[in-house]
Amino acid sequence: MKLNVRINGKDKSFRVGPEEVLLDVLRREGYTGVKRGCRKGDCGACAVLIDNELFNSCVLPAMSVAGKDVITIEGIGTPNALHVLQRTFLEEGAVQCGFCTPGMILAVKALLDRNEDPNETEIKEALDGNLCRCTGYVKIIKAVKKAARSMREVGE
Amino acid sequence: MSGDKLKVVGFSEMKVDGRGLVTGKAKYTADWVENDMLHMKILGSPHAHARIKGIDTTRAWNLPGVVEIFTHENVPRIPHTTAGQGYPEPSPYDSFIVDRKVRFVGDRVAMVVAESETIAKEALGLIEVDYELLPAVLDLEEAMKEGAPVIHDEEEAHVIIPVPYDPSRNLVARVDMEIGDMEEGFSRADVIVEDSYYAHYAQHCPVEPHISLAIPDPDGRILIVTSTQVPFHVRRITAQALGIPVKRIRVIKPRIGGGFGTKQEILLEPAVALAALKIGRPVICELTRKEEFISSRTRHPIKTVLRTGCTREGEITAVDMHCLSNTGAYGSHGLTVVCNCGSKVLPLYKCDNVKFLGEAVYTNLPVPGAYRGYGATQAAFAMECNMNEMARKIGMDPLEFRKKNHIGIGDTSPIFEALGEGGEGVPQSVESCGLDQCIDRGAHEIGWKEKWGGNDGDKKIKRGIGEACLMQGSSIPKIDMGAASIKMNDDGSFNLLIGATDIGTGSDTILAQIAAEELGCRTEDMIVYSSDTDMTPFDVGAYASSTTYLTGTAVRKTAAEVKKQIIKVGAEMLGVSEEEVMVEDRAIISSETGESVSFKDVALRSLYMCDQHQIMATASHITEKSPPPFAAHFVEVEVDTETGEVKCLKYVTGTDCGQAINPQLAEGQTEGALLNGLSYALTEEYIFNDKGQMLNPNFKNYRIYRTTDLPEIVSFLVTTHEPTGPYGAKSVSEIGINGALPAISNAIYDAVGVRLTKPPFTAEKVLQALDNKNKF
Amino acid sequence: MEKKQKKYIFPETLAEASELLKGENVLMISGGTTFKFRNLKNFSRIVDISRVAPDSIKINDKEIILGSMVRIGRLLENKSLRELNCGILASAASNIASTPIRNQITLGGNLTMIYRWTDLPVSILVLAAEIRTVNGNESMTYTAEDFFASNPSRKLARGEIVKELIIPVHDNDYLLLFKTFNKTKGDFAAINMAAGYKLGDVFSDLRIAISAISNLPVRLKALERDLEGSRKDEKVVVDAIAKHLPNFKVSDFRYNSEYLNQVAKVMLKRLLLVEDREAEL
Repeated sequence: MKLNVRINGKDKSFRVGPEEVLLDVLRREGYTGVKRGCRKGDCGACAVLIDNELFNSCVLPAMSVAGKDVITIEGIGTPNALHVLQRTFLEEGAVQCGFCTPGMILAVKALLDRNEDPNETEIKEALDGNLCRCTGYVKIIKAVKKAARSMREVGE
Repeated sequence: MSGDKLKVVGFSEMKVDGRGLVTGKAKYTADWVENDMLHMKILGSPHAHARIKGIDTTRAWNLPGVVEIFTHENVPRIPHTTAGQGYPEPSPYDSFIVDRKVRFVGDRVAMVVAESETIAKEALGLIEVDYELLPAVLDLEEAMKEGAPVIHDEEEAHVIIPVPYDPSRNLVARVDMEIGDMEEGFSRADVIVEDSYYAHYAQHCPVEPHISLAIPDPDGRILIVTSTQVPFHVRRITAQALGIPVKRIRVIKPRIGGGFGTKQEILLEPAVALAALKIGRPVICELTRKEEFISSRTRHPIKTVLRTGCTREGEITAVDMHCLSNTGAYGSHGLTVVCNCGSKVLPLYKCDNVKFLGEAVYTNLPVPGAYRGYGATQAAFAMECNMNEMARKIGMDPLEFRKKNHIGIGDTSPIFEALGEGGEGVPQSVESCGLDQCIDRGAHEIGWKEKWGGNDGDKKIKRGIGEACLMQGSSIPKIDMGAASIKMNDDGSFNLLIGATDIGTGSDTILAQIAAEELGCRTEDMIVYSSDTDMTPFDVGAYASSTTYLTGTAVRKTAAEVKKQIIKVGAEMLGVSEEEVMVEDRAIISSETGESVSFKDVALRSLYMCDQHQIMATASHITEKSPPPFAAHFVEVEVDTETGEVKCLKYVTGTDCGQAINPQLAEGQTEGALLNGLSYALTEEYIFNDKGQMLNPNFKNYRIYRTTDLPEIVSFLVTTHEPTGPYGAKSVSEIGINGALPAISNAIYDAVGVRLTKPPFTAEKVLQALDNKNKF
Repeated sequence: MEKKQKKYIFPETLAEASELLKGENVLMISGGTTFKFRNLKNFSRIVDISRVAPDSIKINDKEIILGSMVRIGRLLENKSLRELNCGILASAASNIASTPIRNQITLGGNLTMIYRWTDLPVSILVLAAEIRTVNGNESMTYTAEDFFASNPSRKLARGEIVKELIIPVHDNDYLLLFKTFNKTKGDFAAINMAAGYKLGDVFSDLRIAISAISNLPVRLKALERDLEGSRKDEKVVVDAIAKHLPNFKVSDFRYNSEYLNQVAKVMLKRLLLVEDREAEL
């Protein structure tokens, strides 16, 4: 079947099977920043934004996003033009192995887009679907607070 | 040296590979796209112990898209160990790529290679296996009894170093040691504490599962791209398992999505390499999360029986520790983990009479391997609970008790020499120790003085404070080797080539910092390339808390040699002698005139203009010592006396890792380790049925901590200077995981007066303990 | 047997969806959370109703009407839902899975599948809510009790689709509480429990519901009857629970069933003896 979808602001059309999940389609089409961690919707490594809400692409029927707006980590920033979230994650040491980072950053983006000044509880709730075994989350939460501050200041 | 002001080391520089990681551009194994790639899936055994009488693959072969099927009938049967250790490996050669017998639920029966993962998976379901079921042994004490089922009855199983190994009794390893006079020690004791502690199964849960890709090349060589902590051991052991020369294999480690020990194991590489060589096409294999739980590696469950005695004044008079380790169906890391129970725990406290017995036995359960903490986690649990109990019994503050007894600067322990990793150890004395500062500041942060020993009266929810003191090591002395090469480029930048393996820890970054500090340039001048067996020098890999201390020193030596070569050219250019210059901020400066030439000037001259040569050096390092990092952990918990629920409110960790090369990365190591330890202590658990099958192999039912489970966390570093480490550094990566088990157990005791010895400390167990207490 | 070309279909109306669902080998998708875990070989058509079933949240003085396509995550975010009816729906929803999965699970899917996050049904029982379904031109309304009396996914007729949930807005003096017992937040609860009763010295208009992985959500009617009109006294409550709860058995491989029974009693006691709402929330 044909899947028409907007990915990172660009209209795309892919051939997909009706039984496929979005993760497999995205990775096949080269969006390899979307990671495969558990294939069961439990770890958040494959998280993407669909119409600005966070979803685990490994349990999402690919066809269900027809006509929608999908944002992957590739749509957030590039190595030469890091998004403030990406820069802050690096500055605060919120990245170790980096495997959970794309999903984590998208989760933070979804949060900050609707709440520019989240408290610690709200941050923890927004990230509760993104497993990280390296950092103990301490520096991630710190980075979110700092990024929120700088995004408010710049008014991004 | 210590008086010099550091310019790069000691600063929290950004990770050198960071930009790729945060943008999703960094390549992990799964992102390494090959044309014409085939997929492998592995058929796991449904039985804990069985002989394969026959395998019928006809139906699987008939499925379109199936390319190859491997079983014990068409795979070379070469005994090896899957433990990614140095040669000669201390683990028994008891594994085959695939065998005619299965020894745990999930053990390998067959491998299917197909055009897609879906087809390969479907084909697994079409393989018909005729099993002869054998009695299984699921309990480690049962496994030691006479007449127990023999798990490794094949004649090939053997060890290649002279250590006790008797598969006919399921005995994988035995190590013992005794110093002083135990009888005299216990007779002098006013108080004796004895208890049994049961550290349990757990999985590492890296977010990236095991994944390996093998790519054949036209010259008959094979490239293995793999998620590993030990690329050089992968090369050697894969060659061995396939019966081909090492020179035919190249291993590249791309970015790795976490390891924690489970990727110090050669699991998938021989299988994909075998397939790629036979078929002549690239073959990839990625474990599912379920396979990761049941058939990769786990922590060794260890029963520790610990008897300790002390005088009323707080002198420890005797320590008798017996560790019985369950190594599951294969003996990977069996000997060394149980050795570390003693060698990384017993030296912490001064005592003249110490006895240690470590035994490891086979069972028909999932296979443990290396796991962050590596035996210290299991035995420190026992030790720190006993320390707490002894202090309470003599009416001494447990912190005072620790301070009175712990090893410090200038002290040595006979244990260091008597017990190492696999056999005898190396004598050493402690040259850096910040444990007292860790204890004092940690006690302040948790509010020890105000809260410890407090009484909540008849409140239903009670609070308690617990503590633990810890040590680990830094590399395996006289065994592990790390090496580095540094080469200067036209613009004064450098290639830093290292075998060391950054699995997310940041070792590429801290090694670049060490090189830059020594050379007198900046981290950004170092182009780091690591872990490619064709291109980089040897390194044992990422384990045993070794990279910073061991490879860090190799890098420093290499940089010092390159610096000499730079100075030689620079001094010539300045027209002064080599003694009359100093190196600072990418330049060679004449001490006399202040005149300078830049690194770039030196590079251009040496490469193009005069006496042309490549400024370059290689150096390697083995350590004589394994200086312990130290840590003190504190925790505050809330215990619900009606339901037994334990909630961790606050966790404080203070760590002495010497001079942190990159404080932010070092803190990150301690924070990640402590949360893993906490999750292990409170929720993580393998639930087995009576057939040895794990019932909860997924993140829905095996709960690892999420953001919403976090207590308040305070982590700090205490800076000391280890004279034998690079810029005073020791290790940091493992120690932080060892504290939660004893600290939580001690805190529960402080809150409600019951001693929990069987983690995880679930509500059910706590309530049971409270009920038992109330009965008496 | 010839393999039929599998199709993923977006019907344009609920009526069309009902028609399609009456066909052979049809899988209905709303949020699609379980899509990955189905053996899709058995289905030739996948009917995605997410774009035709209502996803609105309508609130008036008397009732809250939630469309079946409302995602669980929205129950948490909606400010009114966090306040009305003591915020019981939001507090139950907050325990389900994790943010991305809460964004995917739909109310209709969660109630129909009785998937392992059984947090919402107990709340819906004590709220005395109703579930409305459609099937072509027909419309059916179930009380929550009837709906959960047997497995809803088997109860619904072919083509019958949950359309909305109608929840009465209870008075401010009606206390509604939810409690869960699990290892960590977002874990499948071992026990879920909810209770509703009027503020005051005696139990009035008391409703209690309980569920677990192995148990369909049920009202504890005998216990409710026993306590109705009694003083909110610890001894009275404990005795009544002891009398009625021995029958509550959960079979959950993660726990000892006697222990869960013991915990259920404690949870229930605490639910019934909360007078100060602030203290509990």
